[in-house]
Amino acid sequence: MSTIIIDNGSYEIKIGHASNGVESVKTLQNSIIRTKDKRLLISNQLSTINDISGVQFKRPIERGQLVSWEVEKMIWDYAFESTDVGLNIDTFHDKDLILSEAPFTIPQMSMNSDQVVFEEYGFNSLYKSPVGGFVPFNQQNNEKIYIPSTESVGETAVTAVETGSYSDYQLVIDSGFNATWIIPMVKGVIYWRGVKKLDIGGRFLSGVLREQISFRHYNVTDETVLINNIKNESCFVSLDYNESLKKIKAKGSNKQDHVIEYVLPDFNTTTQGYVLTPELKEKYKPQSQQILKLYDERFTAPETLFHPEIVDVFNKAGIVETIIDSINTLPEIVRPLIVANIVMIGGNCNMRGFEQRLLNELKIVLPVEWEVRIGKPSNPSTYGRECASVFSQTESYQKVKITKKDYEEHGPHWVHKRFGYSL
Amino acid sequence: MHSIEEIYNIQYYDRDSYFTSSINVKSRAKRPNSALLDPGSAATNATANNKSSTSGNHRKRLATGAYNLSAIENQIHGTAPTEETAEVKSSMKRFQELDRENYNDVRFDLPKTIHFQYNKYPPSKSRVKPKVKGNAYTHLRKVLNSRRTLANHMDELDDGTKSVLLSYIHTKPSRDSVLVVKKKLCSICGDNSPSSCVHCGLRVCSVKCSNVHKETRCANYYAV
Ligand SMILES: [Zn+2]
Ligand SMILES: [Zn+2]
Repeated sequence: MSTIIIDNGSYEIKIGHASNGVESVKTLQNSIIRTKDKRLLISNQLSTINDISGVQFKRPIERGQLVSWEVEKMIWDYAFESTDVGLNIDTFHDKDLILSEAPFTIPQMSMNSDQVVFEEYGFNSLYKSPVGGFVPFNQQNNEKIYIPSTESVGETAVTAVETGSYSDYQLVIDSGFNATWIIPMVKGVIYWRGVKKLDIGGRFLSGVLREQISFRHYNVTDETVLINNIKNESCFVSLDYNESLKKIKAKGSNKQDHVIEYVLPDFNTTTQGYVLTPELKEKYKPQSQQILKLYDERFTAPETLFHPEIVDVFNKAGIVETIIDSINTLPEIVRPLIVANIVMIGGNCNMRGFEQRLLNELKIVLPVEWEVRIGKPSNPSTYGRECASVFSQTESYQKVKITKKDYEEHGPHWVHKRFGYSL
Repeated sequence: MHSIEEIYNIQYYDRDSYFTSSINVKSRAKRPNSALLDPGSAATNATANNKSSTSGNHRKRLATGAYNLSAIENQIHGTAPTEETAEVKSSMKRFQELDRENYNDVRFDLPKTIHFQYNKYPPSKSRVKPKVKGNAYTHLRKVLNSRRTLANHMDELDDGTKSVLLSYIHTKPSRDSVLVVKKKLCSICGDNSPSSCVHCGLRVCSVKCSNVHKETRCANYYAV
């Protein structure tokens, strides 16, 4: 008997055996890819192509909903069976599955997934949760990543952490490709009434960056992969937006840390492009390649998480307002406790400065006597899966998983009641 | 869904604005007027400005019996649908424009059957694929072959689920938030910008940016 954990993100799948360490987790593109010359590729075959220009994506998960099991099955098959991925998982042979699913998945789609898991793949048992739901169970590691750190806060926040225990109050911020979720949890259980969604995720940030670069520099409207690379390599969250703007406008000042040069792919010496660091610059001068100089584009796109109105989207609240809205659904007595235990996961949280900026902003709007702590793991993309792995070792998991026998006996609606949201 | 409870921190609570619904909406009602008089005062955009001019300054005498009570009420209480929906509409359009992975949004269709070429591990000998029968089998095939879109699925939802997914889980931006100050940035250079283009309402900070704006992005400049 072994447990497989799949964090089924709309951008990437993080998959591996629960018992194996973090380093053995495989990351796969959750998409089918069409190249400019109209070849179809699956998932990580994306890395085999030289010309990233004009590449298009088809994703089984649209707007956070797993719409196409036709496509998802092709990708899962690839994940389980291909030697590229290297996992070799026989799902029909005594396997338990822990699967992540976006909060507020449409009930019918959620039930479709259950059926595929049990009847098409033959898993022995299933436990399904939004990936953020696993975070409290990794309390030991959470305590290590909080800023300000426990020592500096003083005695009040110091709690003895035992293995296998979870934090009673936890606020998870999961900022991924599709959206940013605010998930309050009380005693290891999601507090559904307080779960809030901000529609701004990595896809939106890339869209903003794409527009800005196309408007100011080169036309990159057809360069999805390139834009994504540029975003990953150069975007950061400014700690003070106005200060950063000033820094860029000022003549001759020291703006080294704000300006970046990105060497665009020439499909000869580089297929993906790269950041021209001062060290690289010293070594050699790129000759034929085009260089893209990025200034405020680097922090304007991320700023939309805080201020969507700067790109003329006025009907959405920013992340701070969304967090406050979520906190306000909780009983008053719980609120200070939950903001002392914030953990940030998801690909967007890789951006430098995100946690510090959020901490600063929350401290401004929350009462001064509340101690706000935010933890950002070293790899926010895989941390949720790591937490699920800790969860798989607990007794709680044994109690809540649903076996194939349960499924056959009680039917899909009963299963959905166990895993679905309830308001 | 504002309640008294939400003003938990007196420190950041603006004492001058009392939290009653009438005062909040009144300040909204002023927006179309002030936007026309002072281009810098309100965050507007092309459509909002066009439409609001009909609900704003121009008061016409209406023939007896031609009063549209609900329209008048809307005007007084600031719930005028023209203004509100215009801004929401253009925001939604803007959002969709930016929130696309493939810019041209050409959704390529998959051929009827596809086989991707990759090396596989040999299937284990003990592998027994369970047999699914009857209705469950039919349903499973349907799930695995379905090419329905998200829109198809959304259409089928009951009103309760729909309102949860489309409304409840989202936070409405507060208009005159005492918590988070809204930013006003130049649509050309990204700098802070107190003023907007008189033709379309997009923000521009300087003569230089205004000229670039007119030549490139201004939706209404040539139309004027
Ligand atoms: Zn400007
Ligand atoms: Zn204009």
